[in-house]
Amino acid sequence: MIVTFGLLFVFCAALVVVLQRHMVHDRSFSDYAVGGRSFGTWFQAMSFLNTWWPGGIMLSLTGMAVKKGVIAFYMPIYSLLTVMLMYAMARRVWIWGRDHDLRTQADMLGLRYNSRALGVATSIVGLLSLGPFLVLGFKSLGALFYEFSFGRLPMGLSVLLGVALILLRQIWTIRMGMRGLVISDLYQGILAYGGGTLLALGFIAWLMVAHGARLASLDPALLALPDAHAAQGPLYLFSLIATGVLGGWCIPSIFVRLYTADSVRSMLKAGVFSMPLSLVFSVALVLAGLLASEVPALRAQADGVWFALGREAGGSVGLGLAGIIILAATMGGADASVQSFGTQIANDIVGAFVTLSYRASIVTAKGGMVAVMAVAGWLSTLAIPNLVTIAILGYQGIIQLAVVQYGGLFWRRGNATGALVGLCAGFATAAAIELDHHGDTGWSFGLTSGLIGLGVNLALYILCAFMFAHTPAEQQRLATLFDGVPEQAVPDAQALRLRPEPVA
Amino acid sequence: MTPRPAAVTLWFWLNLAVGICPLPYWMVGRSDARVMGCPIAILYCVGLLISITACLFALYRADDRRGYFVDTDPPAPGTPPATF
Repeated sequence: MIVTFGLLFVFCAALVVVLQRHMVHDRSFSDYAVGGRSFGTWFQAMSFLNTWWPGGIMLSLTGMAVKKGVIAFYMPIYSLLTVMLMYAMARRVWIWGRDHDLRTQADMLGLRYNSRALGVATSIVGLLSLGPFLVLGFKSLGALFYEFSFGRLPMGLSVLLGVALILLRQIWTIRMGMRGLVISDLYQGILAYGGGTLLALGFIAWLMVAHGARLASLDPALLALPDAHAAQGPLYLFSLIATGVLGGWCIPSIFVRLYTADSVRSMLKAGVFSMPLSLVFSVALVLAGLLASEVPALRAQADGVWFALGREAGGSVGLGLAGIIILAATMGGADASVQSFGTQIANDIVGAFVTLSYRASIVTAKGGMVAVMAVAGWLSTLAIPNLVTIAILGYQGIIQLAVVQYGGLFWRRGNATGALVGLCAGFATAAAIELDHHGDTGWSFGLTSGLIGLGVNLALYILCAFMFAHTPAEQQRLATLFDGVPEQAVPDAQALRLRPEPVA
Repeated sequence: MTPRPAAVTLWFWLNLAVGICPLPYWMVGRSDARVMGCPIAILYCVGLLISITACLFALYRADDRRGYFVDTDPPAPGTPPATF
């Protein structure tokens, strides 16, 4: 216990030193919300990885490889495919952000559709959908403390300690906003994904040398992918991948990363340069899980196999290192969610109805973060039945933003009516199916509730686009927005702005 | 700005199609074939991941060459602000 908790203390102390050394006072709400759009490639890359691969996902990826085999590759595949989607939309998103001082996804959608209601609705959908993931992230730290104590701490107390640690960490998230988040992401990212990759490769080597595990001798059942005759339906794997690809950039805390870059070049370079690390890291996790399935003692602990590998391969030090990597990755994800909650509450919800000064915006965002943390911290200490189901439902809900987001970015005919009607109908459809079928996809050819909802959503979006044509003024506004006509040439350029220029 | 090279664009769309389309997964997912002992399903998934990564690098390089980023790059340090 001294070794594992000692490593935990060293990690946290170093993190505090990094954050304190980079403490900078913000000069505007954009500074606080998107770090003044000032971060270069490597900060962006680590920041993206930290939000994309939180600790809980690392644990579930290795666990899934042990239990279900090569289907676990669907996560690395959609994770890289979604960067392709980011590449396609990044330039327009960043330029609109720079030109109109956009800070959040809801800001961007509000601008595109010229609709405050849509901005508020998308923000609320995002917040409601992300909430369960935040609680799950907090809870996963309980498993970390439990493992670190070698089972001596009761699970309830472990969860309390995990929540206390993550709440303590949020002091810096609240004080420093996005700047603190991105800076700490670099430190946490190097440890979680650089160190995590090395550790996973070490586990693979250990499994091959100490246990003689080989890919050639894997159980054939673990090598099968759901095919046209699968019980889950023929399109099951397609649904998993498509949901991940489309949903990735619909998550507000991930989308906002597009606004922290100092240029389109930094943003795309970060996405592209993070890919090899993401590839090696995720493939190493899956291979470690697959090989671990060859060892009966590890197969029996599939859900916590990452910790079990650390403990079996390296004793206290191995367990400590495995745990620190999970902690670093979890902190990145939790911080991003908390920061995103605060910014959205101040910018998209309160700010949509009341014009907030810089100071009031900061106070509202920080207050929102404290409230969100208090509620999430409290919920994570409770035994909530079906929390994972609620989280899955949340993801099926959040991908409904895909139609509004990608339709708005790539097709100028879409309008606010279609976006709102489609979003609400898609969300309701996904929720109704999920509550009725509880994730069963056998009846729907493998299509998940989210994808079926997305179909309804898209159909209504297109229908409304043809039923309600844009007014000439709206057409001109969109032409200016999409084609980047210089503002001087447009008489009502001010109308394009979400926030009018302050009067000197 | 010159257009993107057609080969890179084609590679991009091909990756997206192959990555999402269920048919290749159905084929490799029921095959017992192995290459040097490694199951074909694992080889296919890792190969696809490498192809996606390489394609994005090629795309970034091609875009850099055709000046895709120039108008949004931050001004170099010491550059006086633009005046109109």
